Order: sequence, then structure tokens, then C-alpha cells
Amino acid sequence: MHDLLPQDLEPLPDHVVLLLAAAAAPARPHELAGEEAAVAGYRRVYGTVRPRRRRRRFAVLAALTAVGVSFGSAAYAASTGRLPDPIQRTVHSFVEGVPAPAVAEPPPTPASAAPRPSSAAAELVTLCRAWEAFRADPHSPPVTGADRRRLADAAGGERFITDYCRQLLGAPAASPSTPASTSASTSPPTKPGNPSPGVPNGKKPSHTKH
Amino acid sequence: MTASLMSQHTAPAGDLAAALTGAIAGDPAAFAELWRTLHPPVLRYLRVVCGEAAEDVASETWLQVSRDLAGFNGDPTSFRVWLFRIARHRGIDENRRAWRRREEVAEDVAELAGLAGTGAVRDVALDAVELDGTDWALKLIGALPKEQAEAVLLRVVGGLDVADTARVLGKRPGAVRAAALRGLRRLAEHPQVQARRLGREEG
Repeated sequence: MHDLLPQDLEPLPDHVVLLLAAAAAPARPHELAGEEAAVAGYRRVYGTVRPRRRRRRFAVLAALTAVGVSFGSAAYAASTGRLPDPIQRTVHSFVEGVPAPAVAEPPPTPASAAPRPSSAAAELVTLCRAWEAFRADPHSPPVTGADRRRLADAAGGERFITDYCRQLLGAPAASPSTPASTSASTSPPTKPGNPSPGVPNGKKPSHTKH
Repeated sequence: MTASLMSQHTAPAGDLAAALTGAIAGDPAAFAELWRTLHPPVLRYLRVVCGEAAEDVASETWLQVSRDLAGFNGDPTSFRVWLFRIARHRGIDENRRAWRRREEVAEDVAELAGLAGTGAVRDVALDAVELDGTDWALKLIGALPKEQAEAVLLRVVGGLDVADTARVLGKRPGAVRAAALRGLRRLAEHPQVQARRLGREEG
């Protein structure tokens, strides 16, 4: 609140409200043109395994559970059940957000999805290692043919393979689940410039099971 | 007035929760529902983060979401935060890649500069007549300093509150609040915004 001035509590000027409303207007047709491709992608990669995350994830969850005991309920209450309508009537509410709802939901427990078969996953890891090896050292054999196609399928396209493998092999992971999120919002501020607290490489909140 | 203009985000929360639950369970129809609701805001946000590459980066974002969704265990609000975080990080990655590409092809680009220049001039000239209200608004918000633009967009277009916006941006809520305020003030003072107001009042 200390950064709010009295004039912040005035209503947003109409012309700004119009601008914001225009920015958030209903989708135009061209913005919905990619649905088919998106659903096809979903069918292709849904549940694709990322095995190397598991151990780290477990550690992260354990740590978060400890944090969640103290912060989880209150923060979660504050983060749920709010009105999604983003245009508020006053600058104050715009910059403050919507008050916490009266009813809090219990913090979700860590997912307990059934383990997936891991042989395919292990194979992808092997392929990714080969992929990375070739990238790092031209004398390594390149990944070609069916192996390369497998990687491309898993990654969602040839050009995503490098990213995919980097994530698969190297990724420090954090959970995107609610305990992670709420702890991020209540824990002490992270170092400025870190784009994503709790996601050390700033890239992939991992929560995938296998 | 504000509510009626906001239909994009007014899909009942229960619908979104149902779509999310279905998509987590592997139902493509539910995923499509989720996508229809949240792809447009993601796209608009990404246009400010990474410009022309927004479409591609949005596709990558949804692909990553599709891959990881089976293990997601939060509510729709957490999902929004997660989604925009992925989008943001992929957008930032794309900017780095684009920067490298630009360095690599600097000479080619220099050769083409003359041609591209005419196109740019034309775009600017047509902006006023061709942009619809949404594009116009996004363009103005996108012209704010990045930190302000992101804070305003995630609030307005992303449907996130300040705390959640802070989670997406990896900043403290106070910093996000201040950035949003500064952005709003700038927008309020922008000559085009003022002119649009006058235009509406006269019309």
C-alpha cells in the first residue's frame, strides 16, 4: 500500500478503461485459427515422459510441503475463487487485485499419478544424450533416421529437439502446482532479474510424472 | 460497461475448471476448450514479449503444456500462472535465438534494409486505418517500457491479479503494482489515447 498515492484510488479514466477493454476484447477469428493444430499437438505429446525429473521433483515437493504448512492455506485462499474479470473500477483495485474469497479450498496434495512405463523414456534420454553429444562434439555420431524422428515426435518438431533435450537432460525442476506457486508469492523476494523464482533455469515448471 | 466488454474472460470459472480437469485426464475436446479460452490472451501477451514470433512461441507453449499437463495438479488460476510462465520463458528464449540469428545474418539484413524500410513505412502509414481497436490497444500497451507492458497485459489480458502476475514475472507484488501504475499513467497521458477519447465523445 505504501506505493499507492491518494489519486490511485480514483476511478480509472474512461479513455483508459476503453483502451484496456479493447486490449482484452473477445477473441478475433484469426486468434482462434490454430485450434486444430494445437489439438493435434496435444494428441501427439500428451503425457510424453520426462524421466530425469523425478528425483529432483521429489526433493522440491518435500521442501515445498514444509513451506506449504505455514504459508499454503492463507496464500491459497487469497489466490482462488477470484473474479477473473480483469478490468477493475478503480486504479486501486487494478493494482491491488481482488480480495481473497471467503471460502478457501484445501491446498492440493502432490499428484500421485500412476507411474508410466519408463523404457520409452529411458530410450529418449539415451537419444537426447547422443543428440547433445553430437552438438557438443562433431566427432560423435549424429542422430539420424528413426531415432531422429522419435526425438522430433517427442519434442514436437525437429527444431524443438535441442530445447527438448536440454530440458530432459539438464533440467533443474520445480513444481508448477499450487504449493509451489503460493510459496513463491509468499516467500522472501528473489534476486532481481531472476525471471522465475523456484524455477532455477527460468524455463520449465516440471510436474510430469512417469 | 466494463463487464460487457470483457466476455473473453467471463466464461464461468466452473467451465474452465471442467475443461482443465478433462485436459489433464487426456480429453482432446476438453483441451480444445481450454485452448479456445486461453490461447487468445497468451497470443496477445506474447506479441508484446516477442513480437512477430508470437504465433510460433504460442504453439511451442501449448505443446509444452500438452506434454506436461498429465502431471499438473492445480486449479484454473494456477494453470493460468503456469501457462503464462511457460509462454514468457519461451518468448524470452525466442528473443535470444532471434538475437543470435540477427548477428549471424547481419550482412544479409543490411542488404535487405532498403526493401524492408519501405515496408515499415507503409505499415506505420496504415496503422491508423487498419488496426482494429484491440490491435491498437495492444500496440499502445506494447510501446510501454517492457516491465510496465507485461504487468498491465497480464493483469488485463491474462486475467491475473497482482500476486499471480508477480508469480509469472518472478517479481515482488509491490514491484508489479508499481509497474502497472506507471503503465496506466503513461497510457492515460498518451496523445493517441486522449485523441481516441475525444473522438468517441464527439461521435
